[in-house]
Amino acid sequence: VQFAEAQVDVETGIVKVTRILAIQDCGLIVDRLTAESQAYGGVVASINFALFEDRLLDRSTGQMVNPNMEWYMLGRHVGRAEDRHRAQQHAGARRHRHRRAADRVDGIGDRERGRNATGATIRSLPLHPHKVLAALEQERAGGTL
Amino acid sequence: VKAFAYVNPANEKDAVAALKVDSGSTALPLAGGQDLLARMKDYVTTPDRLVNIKGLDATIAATSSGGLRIGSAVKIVDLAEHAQTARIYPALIEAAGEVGTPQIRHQGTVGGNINQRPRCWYFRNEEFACFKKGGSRCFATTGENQYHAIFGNEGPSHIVHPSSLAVPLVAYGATFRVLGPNGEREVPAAEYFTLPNMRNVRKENVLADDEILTHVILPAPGSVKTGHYEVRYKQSHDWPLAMTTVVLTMNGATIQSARVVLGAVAPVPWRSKPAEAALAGKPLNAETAAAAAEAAVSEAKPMSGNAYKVQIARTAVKRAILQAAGIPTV
Repeated sequence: VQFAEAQVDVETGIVKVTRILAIQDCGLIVDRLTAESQAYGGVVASINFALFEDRLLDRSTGQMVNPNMEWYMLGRHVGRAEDRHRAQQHAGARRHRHRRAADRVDGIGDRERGRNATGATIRSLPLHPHKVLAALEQERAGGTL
Repeated sequence: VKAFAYVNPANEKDAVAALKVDSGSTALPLAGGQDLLARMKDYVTTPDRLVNIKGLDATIAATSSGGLRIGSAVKIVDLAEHAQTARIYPALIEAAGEVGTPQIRHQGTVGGNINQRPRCWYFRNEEFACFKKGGSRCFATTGENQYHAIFGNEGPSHIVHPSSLAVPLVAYGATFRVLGPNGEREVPAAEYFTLPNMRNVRKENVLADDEILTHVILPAPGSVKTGHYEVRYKQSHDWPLAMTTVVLTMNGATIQSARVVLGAVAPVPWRSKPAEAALAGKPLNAETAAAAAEAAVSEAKPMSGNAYKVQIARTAVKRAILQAAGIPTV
C-alpha cells in the first residue's frame, strides 16, 4: 500500500511530492538494509516515472532530443520527498519485489489523486507543467472527463 | 574530443594575443570549462587551440562610485557567498546561488556563465546542422520547442539565452569590460547580448573571436527594491523555465521607475518595457504586480509547443515584484 502527498503550484503547474508512505509486505527479511534499499529504490523510481522521466523524440527525424542527464530529467536529492521506511520482519515467504512505477504512481500521478490536489483531470505522465497548466485551464473552462 | 593545442598565457594581454589564429582554425578561451568541455566531448565545438583564462582577475572589488567590479574569473560560488554583493545586489546573489549544482558553481565562472552557449538540444546535438553551427535552418521551429523562446521569436534562431547571471546584471544596469587586440572597451550589459539575424546567428553577443570579457562593473543601485524569482521544474540541476529580476527605484511608497528583465524566455535577457511602464508611478502592491505581469506577457509570441511558458513567465514577473514588495509569493 502506498500513499503520496503532493503539492501543485497552480500558477506554474509545478508538482512537488512532499511525502510518501510505502508499506511493503516483505516476507522473511534476510538483510534489513537490502530490503529497505529496495523500497527506497522503488519509491524514487516511481517519483521519477510520475514527475520526470520522458524520452523526447524529434518529430521529423526520430532522433532523441534529450539523450543526456541535462534534459532527461530525474529527481535529485533536494527534489525528493522526505522518506522514511522501516522494514518489519513478517512471517510468510512472499518475495519482496522491487516494485516500481505502476504501484506508487497511483499516489502521485493517478488522475484521482491529481483531482484531489488540483480539481483537474490529468491523463498522461510525467506531470510536466504544460500538462498540469492545460488541465487546470480546461477545468476552469468547464471541465472534461 | 578532437586534439587541440593548449596555451597558458601569463596575463590578459597575452591571452588576447593567443586567441588570434589563422583563418580556418579556431581558438577559444577556457575558464571553468563547464560548458566548453561538454561541447567539445559532443563534437559540437572543435577548437584547434584552447587559451587558459583561469588566471584572469578573480576578485570582487568596490568601485569609487559605490558599485562593484567583478572579475570574470570569479567562481560562481564565490559570488554567491560574497557578503558585500549580497547587501547591494541581492538579486544577483540569488541568481548565482541557483546556477546548476554545487559542483558547477564551484568550477564555473562569472564570465563563463555570461558567455555560455545556448542549451538548445538541437544545437547541442552533433546530428542537427542548425543555424548556430553554420547550417541552414532552426530545427526548433517545426520540432520539439517546449523549452524555446516566447519573446524575440522573429528568428532565425529561437534559443533562450542560458545565462542566469545576465538577467540581474541587465536589471542592475551593469557594464562589461571587454579586452581585444586594439585595447579595451566597455559595453552596457543590455547591449552586449544580441537578438539573432542571419549575420550574427552563430553568436549570442557582441564579443569578437579575439576578445575576452574581463570584468563586470555594477553601478551603485541607489534607493531600490529588488526581487528575483526563478521557476524550475526540478528544484536543483535544472534550467529555469522562466526567471525575472525586477529593480524598482522607489519614491517613498511609489515606484518611480522600474527595470524588469526576464530570463529563459528569449534569445537575450529580455527587458520588458510594457511591464516597466505598468509599474512606473504606481504603489508597490499585489494589484500592481498582477497588472505588470499581465503587461509583461502581452507581447509574447510562443511557438507551437511552449505556450505554457507564457503563464510561467507571467507568474515569475508577478512573484519577483511581490518579493520586492515583501509580500509572500505563494
